[in-house]
Amino acid sequence: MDSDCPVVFVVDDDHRVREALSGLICSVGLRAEVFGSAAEFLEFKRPDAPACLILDLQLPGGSGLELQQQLLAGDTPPIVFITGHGDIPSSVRAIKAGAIEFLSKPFDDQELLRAIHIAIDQDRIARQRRSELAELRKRYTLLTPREREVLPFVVAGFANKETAADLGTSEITIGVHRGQIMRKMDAGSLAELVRMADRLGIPPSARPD
Amino acid sequence: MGDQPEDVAGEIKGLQRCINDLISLFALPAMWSGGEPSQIVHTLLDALLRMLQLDLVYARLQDSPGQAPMEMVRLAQSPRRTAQAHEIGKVLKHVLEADPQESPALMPNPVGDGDLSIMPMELGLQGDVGVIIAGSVRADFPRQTEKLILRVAANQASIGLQGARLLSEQRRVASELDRRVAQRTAELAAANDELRKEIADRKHAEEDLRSSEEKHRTSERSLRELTETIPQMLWSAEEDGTVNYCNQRTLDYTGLSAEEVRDAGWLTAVHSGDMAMATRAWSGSVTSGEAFQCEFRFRRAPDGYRWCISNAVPLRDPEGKVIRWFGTIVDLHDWREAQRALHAIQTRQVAVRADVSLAFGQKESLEAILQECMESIVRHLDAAFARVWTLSHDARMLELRASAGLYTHLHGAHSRIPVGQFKIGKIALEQKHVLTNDIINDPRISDKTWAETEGMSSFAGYPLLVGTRTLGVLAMFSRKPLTAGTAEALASTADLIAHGIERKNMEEALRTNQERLSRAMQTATVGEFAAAIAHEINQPLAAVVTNGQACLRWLAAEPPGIARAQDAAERIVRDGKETAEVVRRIRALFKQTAVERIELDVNEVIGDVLELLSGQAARRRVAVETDLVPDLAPVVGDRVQLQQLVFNLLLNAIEAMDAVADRPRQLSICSRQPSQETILVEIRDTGTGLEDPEGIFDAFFTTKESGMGMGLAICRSIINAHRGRLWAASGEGAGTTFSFTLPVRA
Repeated sequence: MDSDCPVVFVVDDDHRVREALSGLICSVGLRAEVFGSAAEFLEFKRPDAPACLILDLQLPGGSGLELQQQLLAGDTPPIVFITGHGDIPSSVRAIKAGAIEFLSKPFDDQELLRAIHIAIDQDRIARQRRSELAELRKRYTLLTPREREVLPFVVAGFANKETAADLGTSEITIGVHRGQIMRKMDAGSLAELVRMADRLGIPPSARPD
Repeated sequence: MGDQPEDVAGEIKGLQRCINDLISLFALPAMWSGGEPSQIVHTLLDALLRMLQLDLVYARLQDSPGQAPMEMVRLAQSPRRTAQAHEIGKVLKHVLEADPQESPALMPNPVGDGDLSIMPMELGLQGDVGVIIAGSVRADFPRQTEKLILRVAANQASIGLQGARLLSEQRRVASELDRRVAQRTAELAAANDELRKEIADRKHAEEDLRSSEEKHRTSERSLRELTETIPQMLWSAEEDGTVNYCNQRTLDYTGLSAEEVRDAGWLTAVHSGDMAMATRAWSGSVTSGEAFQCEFRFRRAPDGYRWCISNAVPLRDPEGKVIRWFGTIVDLHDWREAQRALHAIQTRQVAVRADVSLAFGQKESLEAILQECMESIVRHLDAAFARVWTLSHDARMLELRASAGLYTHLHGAHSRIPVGQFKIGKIALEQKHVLTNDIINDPRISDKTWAETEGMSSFAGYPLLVGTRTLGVLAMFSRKPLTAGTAEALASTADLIAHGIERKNMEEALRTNQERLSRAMQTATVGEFAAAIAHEINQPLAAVVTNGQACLRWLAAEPPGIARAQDAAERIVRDGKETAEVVRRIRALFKQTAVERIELDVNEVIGDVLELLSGQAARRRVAVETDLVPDLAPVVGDRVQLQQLVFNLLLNAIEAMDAVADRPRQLSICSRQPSQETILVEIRDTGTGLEDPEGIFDAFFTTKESGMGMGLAICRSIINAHRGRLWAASGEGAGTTFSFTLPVRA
């Protein structure tokens, strides 16, 4: 199984449920990784692949909802909750906190697999976006401090002359910085650079009055 | 309810003892006749000390005005039993001076330790004869029967003392006469001497004689004046028994003339049935010279024979020869009648009280009890019919609950009477009884035609009161006039019935509460069980279903994954069996629905429940530790109930630790056999502990957001049904230990 094969993590304290889910997941050609507790899952070094987490609501060592809160901080795969006796308040909380689905045991395989696929697709997109952002950040680190200073003026649409006046330097110097920025950030056009800055969270400089 | 027959037997025994004591008291005057007041009081104090097992009984007699009172005391065995009467009197000063209506009081025991319950009883009208103070260290002193005995004793003593006082008065009068006669005799002798000495001087002598006779007549006249002024029937007789004088009061009483009563004429006023006895007694005294006393029916001129007592003492000359008899006659009739009536009423009162107590003790329904009470009133208190109404829940209506005698139906015109309307409704509203012996002319009675037709002459209605609350009305009609005694008996019966109804109502409320509790217990327990069961079954069931689906997918794959499908199928079989096992266990848990009493091993019960709760405990990160002593003696009980008990206590302990984050969540269960007769189980958690270890057993007490707070109330009712004990103890922030004991099979 190659590393890009989607992986389904299962966290359930009941070994029977773990085994059954593992079997079902494998039968549709997905990779399953099962854990008896949240702690085991958190310790596990996760492969770099689109993933999904099937989480039992009632877990030893903290409820599934607590784990969900904890995972929201980091790079978590989308969560599908399963429960022995789900109550409405917990399911509402779970879904609000971003769970894909909330299923009561015993569950229908179609429903579970549909939820797993949705989750994996979501994760794939998220992973895509995350890797793009990581690439942009890498490029941004290549800029010199002066270039980082110039960037907001460029994406705000300032002419080199205006920027030079603001930063107290020559129009030619700004032109050089601008060329370097476009090259280092691998931007094909100003519009592309503006989108990149937006994704990096760099606000355009305000126009002085 | 189980102890009731013993209480009734005890009460009957108490009443029997009371009647015996009363009879003894009634016999006392016979012992006292002719006795001194001090003697009378001594025997009375001894009798009371013994009958009522008193610790102290004190008497003070105001013998005669101006003289120091006579004080006497009797003590039970006590460390300071040498105490003198006047010392005790000093201690009791405040009781003696207090209003006797405010008794009984409590005071420090002057002859021992602790407090003394005090009951003062006045002797004579308004205590003019004296006072008796009875004291006991018993807190319940004086009980109802003891009060009765004390009252009767005080009455008896008053009569006895008044008799003694009369007797001493008679003696005083007799000795006064004696003195005057002696004086007269001496004077005569002196006159005779004078006569003999001065025989020569005839004239002088005659004069002397005349003057002496003059003196004699004056003396005779003043004696006569005295005997006619004393408000007593007095008489005198010759030494041979011939009556020679009766005072005017005696003549007025009998309607006989002075001539008619002379000699044996007085006997014509004695009832023919008593004549022989009276004659015998009189001639006996005349022969022996001993004081005469006799009770006989004596004819009072206007209205016939009445019981009287006659006493006579002889006057003797210096040689001891009887010269004359002086006697009194006292009309005892009213007193004797009162005694008889009192006795009869007391007997009837005791009978009605016994009936009422028995009815409340033995019957279940209030209707049956009240019916019994009404029948007793008809039987013992001369009622033509007796009825009782109780107040409806909204306190607006009086509802007829029982009727005995002439009418026994409960439906009809009088079955519901608005409070405040008609005589019955007014009795309830005004909380005042109505008594009348003149129905026909009493404005309060409306059904006069009916009363006349039925020959009813009297009506009595009493409110049934507990404190200031009206519970109902008791009423009776009678064809005979009501006596004070009947009224008193009715009043005390009304009181007894009111308190009986009150107790019955409280029992009813308690039972309703218990029923509600047991219903809630079923709901609550079923709810908690259901959640646990759902989880226990859903886990393996989820595995079975998922494995089945995986299996199908492996089989449908191209090429089919036979080996993987087989693995899944094997897991299906395994988990299916496990599910069946869970179901079997649960069925076993619910199998005995009826309460059963079988021999049980407490450890097994704990094991069964732990199996069901282990998942729950694990999920809540609770470590379970057991310390079960093997080979416990079996207990007898209902398996399901005891499982519910342990289930509730364990679940409670697990939930109590939900908020614990700073220390391990530890649940310990241990079983012990601390004695031959008892099994002890302790369930300890490391939760936050309890503020009110007793209050938690109340229904609807809860510290949890969810749940009805029924769990522990249920536990308590289960443990009570098994004659065990359940309690909770809580250290500060160190968790809670629930302990229960169960008796070992006898």
